This record gives sequence, C-alpha cells and structure tokens, in this order.
Amino acid sequence: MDTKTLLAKGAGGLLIAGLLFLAALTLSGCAEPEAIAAVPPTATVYAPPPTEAPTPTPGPTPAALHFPLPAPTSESVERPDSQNCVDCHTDEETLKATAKEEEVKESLSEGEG
Amino acid sequence: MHERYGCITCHGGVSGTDDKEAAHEGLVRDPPSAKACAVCHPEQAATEGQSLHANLQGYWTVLEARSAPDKMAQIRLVMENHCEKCHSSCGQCHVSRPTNVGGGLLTGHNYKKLPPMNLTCTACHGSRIQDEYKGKNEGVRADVHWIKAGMPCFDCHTADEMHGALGEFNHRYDGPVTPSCSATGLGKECHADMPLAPEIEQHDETHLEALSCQACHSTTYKNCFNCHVGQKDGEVYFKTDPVQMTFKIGLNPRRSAERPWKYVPLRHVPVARDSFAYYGQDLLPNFDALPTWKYATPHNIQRITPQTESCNACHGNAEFFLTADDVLPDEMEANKDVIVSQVPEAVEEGQ
Repeated sequence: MDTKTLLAKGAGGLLIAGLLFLAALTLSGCAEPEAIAAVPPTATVYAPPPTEAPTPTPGPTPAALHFPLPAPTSESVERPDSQNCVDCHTDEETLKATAKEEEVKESLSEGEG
Repeated sequence: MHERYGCITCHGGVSGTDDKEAAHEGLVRDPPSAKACAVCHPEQAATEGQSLHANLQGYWTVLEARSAPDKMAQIRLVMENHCEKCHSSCGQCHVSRPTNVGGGLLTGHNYKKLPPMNLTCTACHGSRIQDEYKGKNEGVRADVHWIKAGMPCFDCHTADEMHGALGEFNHRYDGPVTPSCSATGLGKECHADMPLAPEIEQHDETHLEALSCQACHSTTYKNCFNCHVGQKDGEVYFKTDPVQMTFKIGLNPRRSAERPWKYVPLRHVPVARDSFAYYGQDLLPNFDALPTWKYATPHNIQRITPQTESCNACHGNAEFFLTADDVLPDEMEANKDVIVSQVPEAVEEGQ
C-alpha cells in the first residue's frame, strides 16, 4: 500500500472520530439538567428611617445692606486734634515771635570727645 | 503715614489752644518708644531697652568694674552730666539727629527707615570711627569697605543689632561677633570663604587662630589719653590730652569662644585714676581691674598694611606690639594681662 493511500485512510479515520466526538457532545447537551437546589430567600435589609435632625435655632435675620456702607472703625489710638500745633509750627512769623533766644556759650571742653 | 496720628499722640502737649505755654504743657520733645513707637512697632520697641545705644550698658559695665558700690552715687552723677547724652531713642536716629550732636530734624519731620549715616551714625561716632572709615586721619587711607565698596554703616551693622534684638549684652564686644568679617548684615556673607584660602600665605590655621582679622588688616588709629571732667558755672565739660596715632597689637583682653584670638589690636581709652575727681575722691578704687588698652576693631581695613609686607614685619619686630615700654607707669598693673612680653620670633622669609 503506498503512502498516499495510507495518508488518505488516516485522515479519513480522524475525520470520522472527530464527527463522532462532536455528536457525543451534542447529545450530552440534550440531557436533562440537574435539578437546581432551591435557595430560600434572605430577608431584604432595609436602612432604618432617618431620625429627625434637630431644628436649628433661628438666627437673627440679617438686615438688608444699605449702600454706601459706613467706613470701618480704625484702631483705638487716641488722636487728639493737633491742628494748633501745626498752625504754629508752620508759621514762620509766629515761630520767630515766640522763640526763646538761647544763649550760646563757648564750650569749655578740650580735646576729642 | 505717621502724620495721621498728629503731633500730640507722640509728643504730648495740649490741643485747642494757641497759647505757647499752655499748648506745651506736658510736652515731650523726644518721646520714649513705649509711648510713641510701640503701638505700631511692637517688635522693635520690645527689645529697644536691650540696645546699647539706649541703655548705655557698656559704660555702666566698665564703670562698675573700676569703681565700687559705695561710689556709685557719684558715678551716677558723672554719667548723668557727661555720658548719658549719648543715649539715643528711636527718634534720634529715625527722625532727627541725635541730641548729643545738637538734634535737628533729618528731612523735615519725615521718618527715615535707613537714616543717613553722616547725620546719625558718624555724627556721634565721628572722631574715631568716621575719621578712620573715611580716611580723615592724615596719612591714613580710608577703609576699603568705604573707599572701594561704598558701604554705609548699616551694610554691616544691622537693624537687629541697633534695636537690641540680638540679645542683652554688657558691652559692645560681649556676645557673638556682630558684624563679623565672614558674615554681615542684610543676608550677605562676605569673606566667608576667605579664612582658609590657601593662596593667601598667612591665611593658614596658625595665623587665623592666633590673630583677629584687624591685627593684620587694620592700620594706625587714634588713641586718647587723660580725660578729666568737671563743671563751671553750670556748664559741664571734659578735657583730654592730644590724641596719639599709633597701632598696637596686644594680648586679647576679651578672649572667649566667640573671640578666640590671642593677638588683637588695642586702643587706649582716656580714663585716668582721677578722671572724675571733680565729683569726689577716689571714685575709681578698682581702676586696675580693667586694662586701659582695650579690645579694638578699627574701621580702617586695608588688604595690604605694614604688617602684611613680610613675615618679619611682625615676627621679631616689637614695633607693632604693645610692650611695657608703651604703657604709662601708672597703668602697668591695669595692662599687665595685655602687654606682649615676648613678640613672636623672627622667621625665615617664605617659611
């Protein structure tokens, strides 16, 4: 028997075996499935109803803003009016008139200090 | 910004009257920082009391050392009449010239964050610091930091130093070295890499440990002698002998961890045993407790000085060192710890 003949016969055999395998698979799928054991239902977990939140204390109702707003208050540094100081100290004639002449005394010191 | 507070807030006085006497009632010409400055400048005002300009602690330290507790009443009188005029408040730098030099506003009643040094710093520190720094001593060049770098005082002497923020010290040379040659104010680090510079012959460990920077890089400076104070017709005065220009290296009288050098320049101070004789007998019974040649940092730094000309400019040469021959006989005991009894030996040049 030559090689060609042998190969042909082998391939044929394989083909038949494969078809038989497929048939077996198909037939097994037609079998009755196993009965599925019934699982008793578990109780559904419900979230507890929310407790009522405490009622907030009602705050003062903000008044409507009226523009322009007042200027912010400054730091609490006492600032007496000094206009009298400025008036005098910027008036040359007044300064001259009220100046106290200082007696210039010759220094008695000698040498480098 | 300061004008919004008006005059009376800081200076006192009375509002609403044109009469001079009435308006000036309670007037404070030079308001203390607690009243005038602390509200807005609490940080500076908090430490101002520690400033040596404010508390004159340096004077008290040396007077207490030389005097005795039972003499302090007269010493206080000396301080009040002759020394406390050096006290300076915030305004005496930032608004006006110091009272010690006649006062007067710097630029109207404007506040100067950095006051002009010629009207404040060197107005008081004139005869020594200014003359050294600006080269006003005949034959002595100005400090290189001024003549070449144009550095004003506050480039090294920071606001923190002036405001007493660095701590409480007994003396100008108490505590850390500020400023130091390797670290100055304003965040600068000058000469930080200089100390151990191998290309500079004498910047080896031996010299740097033995000598302060000024010992090599300072030059001739003023030394004062024989000050006496007194009063005449209600006018206080002082009298000192003519200054002597010299440069002397002695043993460090303030040797410490911060100032570890063995040799430093020394400047003579004009105190004498009878400096305060006008106010009482023997007011300095412990006169010898401190040297009259004191630790000095002359402000006339040069790169090249007579000391740096050669090794044997100093080695084997007593000229630059304070020896017994340089000290007045009456002051030998006071200066015994700073006199150099044996100058460093001469060396082979290039060694």
